[in-house]
Amino acid sequence: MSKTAIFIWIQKGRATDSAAELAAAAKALGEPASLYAFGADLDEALAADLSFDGIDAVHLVNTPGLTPCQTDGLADAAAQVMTDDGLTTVLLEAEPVGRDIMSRAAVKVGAGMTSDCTALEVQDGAIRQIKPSFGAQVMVACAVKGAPEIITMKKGSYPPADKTAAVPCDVRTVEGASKITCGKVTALPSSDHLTGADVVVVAGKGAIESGQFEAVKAYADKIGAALAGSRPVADQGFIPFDDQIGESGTVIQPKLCIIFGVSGAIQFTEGIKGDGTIIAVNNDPNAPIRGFADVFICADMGELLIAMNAQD
Amino acid sequence: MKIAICVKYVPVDSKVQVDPATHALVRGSGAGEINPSDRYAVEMARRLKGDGDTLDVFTMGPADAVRALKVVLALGADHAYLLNDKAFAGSDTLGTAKVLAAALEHYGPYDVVLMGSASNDGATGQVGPMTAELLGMPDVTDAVDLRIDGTTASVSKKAGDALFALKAALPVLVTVPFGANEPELPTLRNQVAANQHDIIEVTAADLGIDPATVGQAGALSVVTDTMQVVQKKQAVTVTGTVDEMANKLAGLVEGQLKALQQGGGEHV
Amino acid sequence: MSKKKRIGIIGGGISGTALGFNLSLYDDADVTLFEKGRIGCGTTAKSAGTVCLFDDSLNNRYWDVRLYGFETYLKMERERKGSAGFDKTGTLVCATSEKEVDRIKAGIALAESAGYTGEYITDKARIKQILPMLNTDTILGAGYTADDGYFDGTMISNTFAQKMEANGGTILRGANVTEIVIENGTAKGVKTADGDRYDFDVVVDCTGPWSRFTGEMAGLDVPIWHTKAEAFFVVPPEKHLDYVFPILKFPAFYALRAGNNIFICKSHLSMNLDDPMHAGQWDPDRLPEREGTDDYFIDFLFHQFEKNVPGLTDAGLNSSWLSYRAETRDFLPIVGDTPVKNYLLATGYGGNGVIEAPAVSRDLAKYIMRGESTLLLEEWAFSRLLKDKGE
Repeated sequence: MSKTAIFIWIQKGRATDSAAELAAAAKALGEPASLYAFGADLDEALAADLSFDGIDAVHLVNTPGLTPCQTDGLADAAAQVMTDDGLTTVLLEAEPVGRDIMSRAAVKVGAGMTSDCTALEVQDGAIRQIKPSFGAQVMVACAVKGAPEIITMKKGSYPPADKTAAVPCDVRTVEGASKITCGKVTALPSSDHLTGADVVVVAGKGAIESGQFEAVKAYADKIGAALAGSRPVADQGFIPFDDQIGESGTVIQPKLCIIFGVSGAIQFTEGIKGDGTIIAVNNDPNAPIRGFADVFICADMGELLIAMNAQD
Repeated sequence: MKIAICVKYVPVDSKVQVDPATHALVRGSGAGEINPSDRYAVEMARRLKGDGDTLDVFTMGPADAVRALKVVLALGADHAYLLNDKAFAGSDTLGTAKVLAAALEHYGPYDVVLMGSASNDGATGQVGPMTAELLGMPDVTDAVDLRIDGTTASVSKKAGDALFALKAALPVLVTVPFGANEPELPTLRNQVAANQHDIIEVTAADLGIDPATVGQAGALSVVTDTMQVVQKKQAVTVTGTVDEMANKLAGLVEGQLKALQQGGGEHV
Repeated sequence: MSKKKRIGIIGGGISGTALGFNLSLYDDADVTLFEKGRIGCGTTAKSAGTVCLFDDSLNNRYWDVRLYGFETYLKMERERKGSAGFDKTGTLVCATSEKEVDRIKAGIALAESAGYTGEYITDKARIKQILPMLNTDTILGAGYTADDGYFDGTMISNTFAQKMEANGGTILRGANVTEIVIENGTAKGVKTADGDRYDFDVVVDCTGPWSRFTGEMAGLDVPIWHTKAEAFFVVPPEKHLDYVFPILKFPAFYALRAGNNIFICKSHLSMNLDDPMHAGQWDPDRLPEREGTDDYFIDFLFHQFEKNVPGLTDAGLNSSWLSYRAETRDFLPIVGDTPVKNYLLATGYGGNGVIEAPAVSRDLAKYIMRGESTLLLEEWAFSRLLKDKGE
């Protein structure tokens, strides 16, 4: 008999918004699922926050002394819960903490694991797990042979399920041993180098020609992004060559990249990797960058930047 | 100290198509390269390696994958192992971890094992933690700094917009994200020498791996179908007055920034 | 009122856009250019774009072609900064034999005749001043000019494309020509992957390394080979050079700066069409986005550098790429009429598309519109290769 569960890890006593989305994903499988929340000193009051359409029970799992960095210990706990409750399908959000913990747990319980799914379907009694692959050029359907299976779901794949009246809740304590100890937490210094930056603003030839380089720079500062440029911008000394994006310069993998006035020659686009969101602003509707961007804004960047920089 | 680094040889071409008949993936060319985030793991290994330490590099893949090994040899690896067996083909993440763990046990034991945080093609990020589990080691993912003091590793882990200072008992497995440091490049001189270096080829039999437990045969997670996404990548075009466009852009950027801040920054 | 001449150009690289621009200057030309990808983003994007006043890439016999190309881009750059991507680094051409000394000196005379500077330097200390990482023991001397440099083929193609459109020409981007309509041995038009048919009076194949395949659609055997243009971007050990690295030319390779990095490539004249390591018939659509170079190329470079540029033997290998040049047996392009009536070629530029396209396109446009040939078109005609084949 199949038993579907949702796993979440509670941080600072609060539920993340992934629970509601995972509840909706579970609902797509047609059977009620139970939700397992792992954390330290969890309070039964939390159950009310975690009761969503599609969830029939909330299990709070206290893992004393373990923090999310202690993935080895938390994997012990997760695997024990899976075994104790005979879980056949575990859904979790595709994010670093859960991925690390459940990869280890998968080994412990001999589960098959798929990642970053965006849709689930039931077909011939098995769960068809669909995920975009290769920058969303291809959709791949995966299945897990036998049970149990662990599925990570990409955030935003399902609209959050509605809250319901509080469902039954129980609390248990599961121990796990860790060889890791946690120390100080510090804020990450804002992009000390370009390659590791999550958010990058790029100025291109168009920004220099229209005299907007300073405005692009001001916008980068405003949103806390690293500033980079295309080759002509470096050639003309507006940025150091170390901050030049492209085949002949630096290769970056930002999560968000906003590009002003770059035509989009292949030497440039080769410098941006990964599946981050690319927003391009260009006054030429035929600029090749359009074919590279996720969002294209055909506008005079001068006017747009004045408006952007004036916003609160 | 014995340090191991596991790398992946990934296709360079980002464009793929699906053969309409066989549903197999068709790529532009067969060219490959060392996985981008692995370069940062190699740099961490290089900085860690002191006098008397050894650094060994492993990759599971076809014969072409020696190109990835040669890059790491040029950067100072002592031994290079190509884990190549028909039985390994079609491995899921667990199968890959089993092969790597078996090789690391066979040629180890290692005090520190390093990997890139995720591959550019599969991008599951699962192989590191799975390998650690199989080896009975703790793992720290997304580490941007690593120091060893006696039998303890001090690791700086990046999560969201925060850095976590962790300590782990050796042996430990650490994964390194893209952009963690500034990697040295192999020099032309070292690359010419590395291209002549011995590569140790390793099969399932060498590692005592039962072929039924890895590769296509042992895979628990399998691809059942691939479908071409018909729609070409087409940019969403934002139109309107300057103010409307500025507002839309601001909304988009704010939403993305918010999602980034939530990306694990609140742990502990 | 006379009807406009309809011309279809296949390929939006340096060859197609230069021709399209030149044709658009005739008010009785109706030009349509088909580009299956993006303008200037095929093998043009992988061109080093060096246009030197007196290197060996193109025989001095065709010096006017070189000068015309160079000055076209200088004017383009003057019109709008960056539109030709000019980086004025100067060029250092190293002589390793007396024959090269003579050729370089003739090139300098030609450059000076056109009002540019150039000198042949034998003072090794001075050569080292220009490029400190050089080993001057292996060379007899070097020709130097500060006046030239390299351009950007992608930017030039896009500038030509813009000018062509401003003159009323049409560019169909993302339009893949899949069929050439031939009736009674005469080209009548093309069909695209979308199934659309376009009728033309003249079709010109400007597809460079793709010409073999495009030619097949017209039933034509285009005698080009692909030679590998294997290139590396290297980071000099000093990381940031405190001098301008000039274009460096040796008979077997050349180097130029690319930001803080240095781009190095095997010279096209050092390629042997009969060596399967160098040349063959490949599919340019399967060129990798990066990488794809051979180990032999690394060995080749190392040995060249050990001998000539020791300062680069410890350079870091940053990235590499592979491109295909479209090369004929005599390393000169194929321009003009073919055995298929109204199907013309402007292809086979080899490593010299950026240098040669302006002069060739100027002459070819005039030939298409007015039927007047030039000495250049006669020398680079398809028929010369047919004759060679018969021998």
